[in-house]
Amino acid sequence: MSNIGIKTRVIFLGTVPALLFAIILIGYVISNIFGILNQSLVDRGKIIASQLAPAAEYGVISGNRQMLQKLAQQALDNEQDLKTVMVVDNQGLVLAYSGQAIPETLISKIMQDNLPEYKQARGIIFTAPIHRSLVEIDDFASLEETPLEQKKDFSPEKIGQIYVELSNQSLQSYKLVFVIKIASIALFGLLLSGWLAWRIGRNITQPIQEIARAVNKVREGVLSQTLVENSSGELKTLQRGFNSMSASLKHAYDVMQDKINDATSMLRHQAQHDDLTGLINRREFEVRLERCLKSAKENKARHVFCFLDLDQFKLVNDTSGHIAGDELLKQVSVLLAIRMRERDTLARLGGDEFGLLLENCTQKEADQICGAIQRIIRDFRYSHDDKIFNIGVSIGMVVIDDHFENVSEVVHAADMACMNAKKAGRNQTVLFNAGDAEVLEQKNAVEAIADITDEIEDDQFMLYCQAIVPLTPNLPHLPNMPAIPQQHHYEILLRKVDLDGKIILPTTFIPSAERYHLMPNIDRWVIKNAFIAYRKLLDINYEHCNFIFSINLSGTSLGDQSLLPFIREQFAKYAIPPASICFEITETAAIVNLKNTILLFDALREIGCKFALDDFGSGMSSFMYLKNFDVDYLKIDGAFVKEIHQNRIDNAMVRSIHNVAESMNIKTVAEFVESDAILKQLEIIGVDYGQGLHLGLPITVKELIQQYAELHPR
Amino acid sequence: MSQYNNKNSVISVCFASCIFVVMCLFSTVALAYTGVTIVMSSKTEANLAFVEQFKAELTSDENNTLSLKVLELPARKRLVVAENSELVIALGEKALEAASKLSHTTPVLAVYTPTLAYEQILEKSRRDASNMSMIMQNQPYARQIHFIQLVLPSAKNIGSLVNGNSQAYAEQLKMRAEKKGLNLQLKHLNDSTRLLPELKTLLETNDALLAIPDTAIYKPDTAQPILMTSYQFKKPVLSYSLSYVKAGALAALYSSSRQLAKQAAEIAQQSQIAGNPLPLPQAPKFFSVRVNRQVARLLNIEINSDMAIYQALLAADPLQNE
Repeated sequence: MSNIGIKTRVIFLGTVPALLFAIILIGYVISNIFGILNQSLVDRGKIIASQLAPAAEYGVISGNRQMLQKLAQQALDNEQDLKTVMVVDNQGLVLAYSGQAIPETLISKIMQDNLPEYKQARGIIFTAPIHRSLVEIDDFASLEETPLEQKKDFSPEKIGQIYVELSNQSLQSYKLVFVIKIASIALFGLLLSGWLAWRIGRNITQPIQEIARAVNKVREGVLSQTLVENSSGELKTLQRGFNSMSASLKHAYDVMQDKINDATSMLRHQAQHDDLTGLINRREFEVRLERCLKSAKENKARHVFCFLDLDQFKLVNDTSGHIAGDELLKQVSVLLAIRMRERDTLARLGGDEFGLLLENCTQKEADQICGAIQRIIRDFRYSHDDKIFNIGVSIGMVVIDDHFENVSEVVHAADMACMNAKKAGRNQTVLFNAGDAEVLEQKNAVEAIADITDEIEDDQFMLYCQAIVPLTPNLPHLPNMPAIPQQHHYEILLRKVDLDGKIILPTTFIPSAERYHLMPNIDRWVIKNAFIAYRKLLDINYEHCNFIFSINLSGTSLGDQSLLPFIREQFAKYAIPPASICFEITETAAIVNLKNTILLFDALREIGCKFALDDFGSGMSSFMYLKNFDVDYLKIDGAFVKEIHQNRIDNAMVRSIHNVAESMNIKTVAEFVESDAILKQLEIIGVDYGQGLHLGLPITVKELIQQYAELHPR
Repeated sequence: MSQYNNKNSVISVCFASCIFVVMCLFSTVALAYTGVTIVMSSKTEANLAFVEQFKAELTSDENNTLSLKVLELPARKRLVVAENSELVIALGEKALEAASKLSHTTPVLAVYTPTLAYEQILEKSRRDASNMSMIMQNQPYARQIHFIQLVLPSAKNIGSLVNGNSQAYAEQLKMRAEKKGLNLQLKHLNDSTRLLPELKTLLETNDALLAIPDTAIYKPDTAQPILMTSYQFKKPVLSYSLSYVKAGALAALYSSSRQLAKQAAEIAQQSQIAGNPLPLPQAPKFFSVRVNRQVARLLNIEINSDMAIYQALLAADPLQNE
């Protein structure tokens, strides 16, 4: 019942009570009518018999059979359904009969039982006594002396009996016809009520279905759907309610859509623009660049792309902090934006890098624009906290033509041109020339990292290691093939293996990898594989395994919040003693990421790791920051070491660095120990460790493991 | 002891004598009652009408000193109350039989009683007609014959069924009718089952059927067959009662209860004069005539108006002209 539709319910409601009512009524009517019909037949029989009885009286008294026969025949002729009329005297003698004779046995039975009527299958026999009628002929009643009240009860003499048989066949057929008629009427009524119920049901369900359809349309998103309010009563209320709901929904939807549009345009703006400067961001810039490249290819249009890199920005950032750097970027953005033509696109590509897209612009015009920009920047004085900075801008310019396959080629070309501009002395504009040797080299470097993705494959890189040898006289050492000292300190070095199997040095791919933010992944790969290697050493011989692996961390990794958990996880995974690992960070990277570096150092120190500050001395204010870092080793920049035996200043620098380090209880490591003369100078100064070709060539970690395995078989 | 007994018996005789004297005094009071007692066996319509008319007749007479008492007693009981009535009128045979047992000094007048029954009771009661008279049921012969001739002037042969009750009257009537040129054929009906066959043979040869009161022949259950048989033969029935006319007889000469009461009242007033004996049994003095016009039409008989016949009868009636 619960999943029956309204129409079916209405039809059910309209027909079932009618059906029940019809059945009851028909039953009642039939039983009553049949009762009445039966009774009327009985009454008729009784009446005929009782009427014939006095009529036959005289015939019976007078014995006039002819008269009785005539009477019986007349009755038979006049009365329908009358089958038999029989007149019998009080002795049982049949005086007359008409129709089918009633058997004597039946007569005697009826007489014996004194039955007024006797029912048979095809008819009913009625009997009535024939009495001698009494007629008052005496005025004084003296003949009888009968009192008044007694006269009433006086029973006359019975002189005979009349038998009448009435056929019930026509009654039966009448009953049948009656039943058929009444059933037909009932059926008609039922059909009528069913039809009416169907009509009513349809009248109800049609508007409901319309509403349902409209609701479906609303569900599909057609909010402008309205209904014609053509019903009455509750349905009209429903229709009106739906219309107002639909209108409300439409209104709400419109309001919501407006908000969404606003939010979308805001998001789009955010997606396309740089938060800090409000300029177009790198992604959107690349989209426009793509468009320009396409038009250059299709329409031979000439566009110019300029890659701008601020000079001395790092200085501002380092000395006055990020806020000052950000403010500088904002002001520069405003300065540049003011000078732009309407068709030009200025974007911040990241850090202190800007992109300028000059559409439909000749190289000459572009030169003029770049010159103007450089003048503006050069003339600009940025002041912050009473400090005044002079900045410049190096510009790499690329004429976009059909030589470029894609946008990244254009960007790299401009990038390379910009780098050349920096190399050329900064605050210069360099036009990209595809044939330049540097450009080719740079191109190769870029190609080298082209296959690096987020998931670095194991065969893409290879680990090398180079010994860090103690220079203190009490520690024995072997120049070319060092014996295994007490603590075997190795710096883990990274080499890339290109598709041809050629080994590529990090100096070729690291700058590009840094530019394309690939370094955090590469660092992780190095950490993981260095740990695997160490694990192998431990597995070969745990007791003699007293290696220290120095692993380099790039500046970008320092800002990676998930690095520390990763390192912890690796320690746990490979069960490496933390004291066996030393992390090396360049001085500049450490200073740029000062806060993160301190946090990382503190955390790793807790575990038990060691630290080395790499390329110490190359930075501007190295000593000042040294106080901030709790390090174990200072690796003196190779630039000071290379010519230590010839250059007194370098010698003095190394000496001073060593002295400071010594006073801070930090061990010093000299890189680039390439000759015995250098080594001797270092020993004189008292540098603790040395590293370089003279002390040991880099070998593959695999070789190291192999050597160890040979020395310490399991 | 015996002396004492004698004294007691004397007292007893004296006491008894006193009671007797008192009783005699009371009986004198009872003998002194002067009035008419009507005794009826039951309250039939006719009886009640009789009483009513009789009362009316008495009250209409200014000189009347008679009082009226009506008794409806079971017939077998002795009518002690009716003793010493000036006149006891017995309505019906049973009332007459009861009244006949009253003392001979109480005159009894029988009404509604067949002559034969009256004679039998009279004989049994050892009375004589002077103190037990009657008003007869049958109409006087001359009136009856005259009536037949007035209603059916062309009829010459009249049939009549008779039995013991009616035979004497019928024979007298036959004899007198013949003198008037009217042939009255009498058919004796001894077996009641032979009623219709006898009637048929009678009707075949006569012009009409004259019904003479006889309870053995004319009963309520024979009335209809007799009438129907007669009309099968298209012969009219002349009857003796209004009821019979109403039931289908052509005409009747009859005396109603009220007419009989009037006649009885006259007899009562006459017998009031002390010592006057009752008159001899007499025929009904007052009478009526009634013709069933419907029957007359069906039988194509033209008859004068009831009043004309009555007037004619009245004019010729010896009783009325006395």
